Amino acid sequence: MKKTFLILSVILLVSLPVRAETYEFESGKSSEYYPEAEMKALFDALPEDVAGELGEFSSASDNSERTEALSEKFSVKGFFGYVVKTVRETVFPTVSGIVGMLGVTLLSSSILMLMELRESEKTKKISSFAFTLITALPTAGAAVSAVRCCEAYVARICTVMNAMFPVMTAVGVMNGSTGAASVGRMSLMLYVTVTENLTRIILVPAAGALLALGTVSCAFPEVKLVGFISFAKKTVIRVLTLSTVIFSFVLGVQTSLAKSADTLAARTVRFAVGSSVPIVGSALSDAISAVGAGLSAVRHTAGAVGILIVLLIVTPTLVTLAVYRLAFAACGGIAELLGNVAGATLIREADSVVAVFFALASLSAVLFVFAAVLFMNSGVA
Amino acid sequence: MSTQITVCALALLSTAAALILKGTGRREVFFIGLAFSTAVSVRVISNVEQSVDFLRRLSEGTEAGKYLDVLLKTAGIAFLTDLSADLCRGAGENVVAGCVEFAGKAEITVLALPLLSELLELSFGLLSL
Repeated sequence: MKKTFLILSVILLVSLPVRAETYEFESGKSSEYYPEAEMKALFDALPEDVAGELGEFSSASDNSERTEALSEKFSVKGFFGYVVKTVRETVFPTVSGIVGMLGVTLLSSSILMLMELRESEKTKKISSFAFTLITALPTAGAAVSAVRCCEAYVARICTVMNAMFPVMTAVGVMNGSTGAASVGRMSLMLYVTVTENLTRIILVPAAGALLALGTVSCAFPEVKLVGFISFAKKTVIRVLTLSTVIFSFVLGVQTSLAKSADTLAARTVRFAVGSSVPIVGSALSDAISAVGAGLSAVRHTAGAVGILIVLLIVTPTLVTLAVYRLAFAACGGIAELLGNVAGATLIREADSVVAVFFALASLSAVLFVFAAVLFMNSGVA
Repeated sequence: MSTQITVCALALLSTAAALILKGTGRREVFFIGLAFSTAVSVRVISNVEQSVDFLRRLSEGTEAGKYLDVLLKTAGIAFLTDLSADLCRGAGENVVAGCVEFAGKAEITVLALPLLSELLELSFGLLSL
């Protein structure tokens, strides 16, 4: 299996016509490099809420107007306003579902615990089945919401990426550097294609299948599905990891990014391979420093607005998914504490499904930052 | 606390009465069990009612409220089924006890099936390509 992955990776990497280039960042000069018409098209392609948050910036006709419009966005008031708005718009709508899940878990686990004092073995199985289903419904509802949220997020990122292609091409052609433009476009297209297809064709259906199998496995313990579920989960994680490694490699090692921004690429590869899914452990610090370096590169080339756009696109979903995962952990703990083993197992299964999507969202965020650096880089190549 | 004291006192009295009646070979033992179970159930249920009302108020309009009825119905059916089956078994009527248990299981399954279908619908919603 590993050999097949290796061979596939090598074929993919060798077949891609990309090469490394060096460049130097020149802070404060980025506005000179980007053609107005293409930039306008790029801002038009931004999701509505992001464009709304940027306000006059995205509707400004030239770069000097944009700079003026931006100054108020980066005041302390503007920053806290954004934080409050993000929490209100992303966390609050999920709270009712999460409270429902917590309430149902608590109620069903408590009643089940009380019933175990009285119940005979003969009716225990059937009432346990019913209680597992009652616990499963809000849990699955929350997991499906999290998956849909991540799906929409990937679509948002891909829309923005698609809007980057014409700008990069125009910049490359203007600079007479068609090679650099093609490298950037190739990497971004690879990212967009892989991520969109991976999410739509593999991850979302796999999440549905895993949720259904997990529920059946917990509600009917006689049906031995544990091995199959574990295999399916591992396969999904391997697909996710492989695609990320390939993309990181292409984006990082074979393009100009490799020689800039604090060796971002090498860190990305380690981050993806070392952490697998979910993203935790020693690789987390690497990921954080890699994102930090990436954001710093965006700041140098595109200015603060680059960071603002990246944050506006990335943070709401990551915050929402993190809240979901916290809620799953809390519900699982409650169920386990009250002796509702089947309920606790089911919640853990749902959490592992959301973990895959949280990993996808985190990796997409990291790679989006790198892609943004690449995009900004096209202006100075 | 007072409920538990009443329940314990009633239990001891019932057991003593049942032992005396059993010694004389009379068949009223079953009725002692029935009377005791009914008295305890009525007492406990009247206490639980307040908590259920509180839970209903708390979960009104939330997702938990949607499932509270199913939860309580399942718990009630399981409790009644067990109680009746135990009484029947105590009176030596194993066949009747088996029937009661079967009816209880069927009732709980009927309650749970819409939940299962709703759950699978949710999961299959993600599977549609």
